[in-house]
Amino acid sequence: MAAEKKPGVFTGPLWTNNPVVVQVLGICSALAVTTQMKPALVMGISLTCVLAFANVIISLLRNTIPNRIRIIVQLVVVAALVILVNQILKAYAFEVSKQLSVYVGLIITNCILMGRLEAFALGNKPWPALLDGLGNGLGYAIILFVVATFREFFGSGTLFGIDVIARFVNESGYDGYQNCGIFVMPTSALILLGCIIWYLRSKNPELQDK
Amino acid sequence: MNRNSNVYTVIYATVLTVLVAILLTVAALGLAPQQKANSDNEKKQQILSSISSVLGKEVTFENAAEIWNELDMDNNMSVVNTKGEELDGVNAFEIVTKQQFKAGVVKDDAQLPIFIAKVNGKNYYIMAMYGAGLWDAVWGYLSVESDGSTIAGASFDHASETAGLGAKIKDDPAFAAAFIGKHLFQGEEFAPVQVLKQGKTAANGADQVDAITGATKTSDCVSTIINNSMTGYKETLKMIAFLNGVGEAEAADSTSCESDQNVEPVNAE
Repeated sequence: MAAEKKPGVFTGPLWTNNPVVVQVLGICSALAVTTQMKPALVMGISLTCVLAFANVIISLLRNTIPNRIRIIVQLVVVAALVILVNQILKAYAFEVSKQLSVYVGLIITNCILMGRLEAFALGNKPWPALLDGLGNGLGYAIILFVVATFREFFGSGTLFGIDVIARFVNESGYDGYQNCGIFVMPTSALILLGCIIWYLRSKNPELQDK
Repeated sequence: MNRNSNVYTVIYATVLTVLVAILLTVAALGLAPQQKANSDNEKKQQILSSISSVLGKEVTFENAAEIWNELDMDNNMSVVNTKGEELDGVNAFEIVTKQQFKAGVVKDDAQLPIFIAKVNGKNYYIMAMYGAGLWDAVWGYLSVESDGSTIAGASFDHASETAGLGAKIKDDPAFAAAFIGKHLFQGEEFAPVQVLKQGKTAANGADQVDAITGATKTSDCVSTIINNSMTGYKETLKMIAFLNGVGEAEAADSTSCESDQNVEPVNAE
């Protein structure tokens, strides 16, 4: 644990040690909230905030937490943060919170969180823990955003809710265009994730299974 | 202190729990007014969306409150029961539609909200709908013109219909727009508009709207929801038609009949 160097702590999770496509954590929400870009972006930001704060708090408390209830302590900290995020979204980003519905609540069950708390925050100082939280959160957010971009564009013909394809089709006068229905379904997220993993592994041979 | 002792563990857990509880309580209380305002605003949006074609513009989350105030909706709503009688002392806006239904059917003692929008000198009566969709609840609002039968618009929302299919009841404006001009009554008979597959016709001669392709179940559910919800308003709708019919005759006749207007159950004039 302590062997992880500071520079890699932040940049690693963004790509070559990405929590979603390399560690394969947090897949459930990656399938569920990526039909449109806006909720995907908000989910990414929410998770990054929760993970960064949780990492710092657990790191600050790491020398006081009784070993036997450390998982419970982590859970309580994460749960409190998640409820806060949920309440704030409901108050200030109501429509987004409706689209995210249960998935904000489910941040708590996101494996990335407990994984990072247990594996990193418990054994490191607050500053590296903060970087680790931000890195993993952003790594998750990037993948979600990429998947959501594809899914929204091909599934609904929009980007951030703006009619891109419909506008183009109307101008060109061709009206036989149909959106690709499968991109609305979670299946497509799995296929897209598979493609990203494929690309990532072909570029980074050290990730390939021996 | 020994971090592994029972006393330390118990004290630690207690302190942590109390701190978190205080933090969350403060947050919940502090944000509650804003959250209530948001959900009220959403409800206004849904109600007003059912007359968006009358208004000639889309009702969004942002402009809903403004339109609501322009139409002075707060003073133009009432509550009726299934017999078409107006109920006093109940705030129509605060009624939870879901609680007025049991197993998809309007309860005998239901309190049904009705909102009256006056647009361009005409009255539009907006009624609430609720029922089961394919996966979870579907609800919405239906507005009728002053004849109590001709639909002026509809708005639908759902908890979790299939995205891209059943969810079109909300996402595809064409679905709600198709209800405009359809009827709840055929002559004297109560025969609300039905959502049917293309090529089918309603047995009772009711008007019909095309079902969503690939979402037959959800479409069937919408049909049932309209029928069941409007059954609760049936007597009220008859009353609206009757009173407005009489009202027109009176307007042509003279300006009398104050007493008649006092017993009007829903007409806000």
